[in-house]
Amino acid sequence: MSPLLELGAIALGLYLAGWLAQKLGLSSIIGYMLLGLLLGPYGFYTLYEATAITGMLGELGILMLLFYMGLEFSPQRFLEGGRATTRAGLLDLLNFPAGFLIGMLLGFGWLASLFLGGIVYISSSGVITKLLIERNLIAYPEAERSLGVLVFEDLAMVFVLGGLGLITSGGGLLDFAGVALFFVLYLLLMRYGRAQLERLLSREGEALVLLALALVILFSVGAKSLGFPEAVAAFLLGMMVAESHFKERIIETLTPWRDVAAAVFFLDFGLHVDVLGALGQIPAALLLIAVTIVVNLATGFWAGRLTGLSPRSSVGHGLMLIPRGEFSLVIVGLATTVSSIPQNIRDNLAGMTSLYVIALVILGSVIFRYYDAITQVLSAPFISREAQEAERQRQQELEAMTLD
Amino acid sequence: MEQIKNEIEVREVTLPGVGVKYVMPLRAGGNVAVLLRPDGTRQIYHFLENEDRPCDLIKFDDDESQQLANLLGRPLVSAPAASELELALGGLEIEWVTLDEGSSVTGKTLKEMQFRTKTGASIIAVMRDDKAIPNPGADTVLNAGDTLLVIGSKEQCHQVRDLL
Repeated sequence: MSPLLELGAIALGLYLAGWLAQKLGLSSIIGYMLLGLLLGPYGFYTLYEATAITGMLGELGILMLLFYMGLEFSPQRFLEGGRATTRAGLLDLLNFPAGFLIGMLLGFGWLASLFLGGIVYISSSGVITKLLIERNLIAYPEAERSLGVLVFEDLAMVFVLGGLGLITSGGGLLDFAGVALFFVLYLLLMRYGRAQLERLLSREGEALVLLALALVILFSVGAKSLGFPEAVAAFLLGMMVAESHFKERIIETLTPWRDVAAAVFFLDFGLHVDVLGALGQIPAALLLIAVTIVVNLATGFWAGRLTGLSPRSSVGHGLMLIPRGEFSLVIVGLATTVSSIPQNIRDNLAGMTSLYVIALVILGSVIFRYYDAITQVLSAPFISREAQEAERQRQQELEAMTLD
Repeated sequence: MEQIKNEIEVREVTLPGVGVKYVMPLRAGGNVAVLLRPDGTRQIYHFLENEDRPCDLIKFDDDESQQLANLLGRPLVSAPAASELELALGGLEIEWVTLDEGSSVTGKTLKEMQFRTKTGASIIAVMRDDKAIPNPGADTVLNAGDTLLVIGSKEQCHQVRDLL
């Protein structure tokens, strides 16, 4: 196939896969990934192999996802959440050790297990936000808390990616010097480069797109050459650009580019997954799914009760955080490039994560559809006890009054 | 978040990736949540007292929410206010009379029309192209589309209308 024809086929395939997934009420991420799974060299039909095009655009997809995360991350909004969000976010962190322990249990070794911790930890803000709006749950008190936790997760994700990046880069003295150099350069740019950046970004149309693409790619690749994780560099660049007056225009102009590049990333990931091998990972994936549900319900309920939500809303808070998606795939995508993890473990990790994400996106859409019924059933034991206590108190008050 | 004495406290929450939510408690119990989305659509949720599930939801698109805001913000013109105005004017009326395109009086001056002599009513202003000419002189020429501000008794105003 000529590269041009290949690009056309990729575009058509992604369009159809996304359309089908939406038709089924699922996130289009699933469609893109399944397309890769089914058509890749390990899939049922070997239509084309993962190529230079999907590989390159896929890498750009990761950078764009992280750049946007930085662009939309606002430290002020984070602080606004206050203590309630911080508490809920800290409890939500327990997902990380849960994933790590399962990795150790499955014999993945500590490095791959750390990646699994990240995969299990990070919820899908894209999937969750979309479902909250579609299902009219956005005004529920727990939605406020859950969205706050998602912002918390974004910040934690940067540390996870940064930590994993530093560990896998070797961590020699030279590397640390490079990382330090990057930080100094970044801070200098933040301090003195604002006006120039502002002037640079006052463009429109294709000039803005070209400039932004150049900035994102060159900045991240430059950081990588200094030994700094490129994904984190893209996030930091996003945070810097978010300070400019052109933030809204940049978001508006670049969103389709990000979405296309991200779609190719999901496809490319799917192309690299050994489908038959993944089927062997079903038991492990089921364990991962079960643990995720239990941990989210437990920590979510605890966090909700701790921050003043009713039992029913607290159950809901845990439920809302269950879907996993784009960022779990970003982390596993990075894991598959780490040569110090044995190839078979990387394959297992990729297969397992693809099943995990597909299952949790589907489960998420079911949970959100029957949200009211599920929360009512699950919170019934807690509500009745509370109601009983309230009733007893009222009786006592009545008795005290009649005695008077 | 702003609280002034005797004013209803509204809680503002930024929902990342969704928009801004305002929650306003109602005196009758329960509260109302208004959601503003960046695409211009608005949603209103009604929560009953001690309930954290909304009992009702209304969605508005851009122009519908604008229209609703107009309705909610519209001042009440009550009957007593109108009669007070009449009282203050001592039985006089102020009328707005617009000259049609083909009106026979266009091109004539106020002096030629002799409104005050003929009817007793006065022209106190001429509104032309969104501008007002207060206290127009006798040689002011009337154009089609002008609006005359006429003051006089009900009867006098009526006569001016007939002349035009």
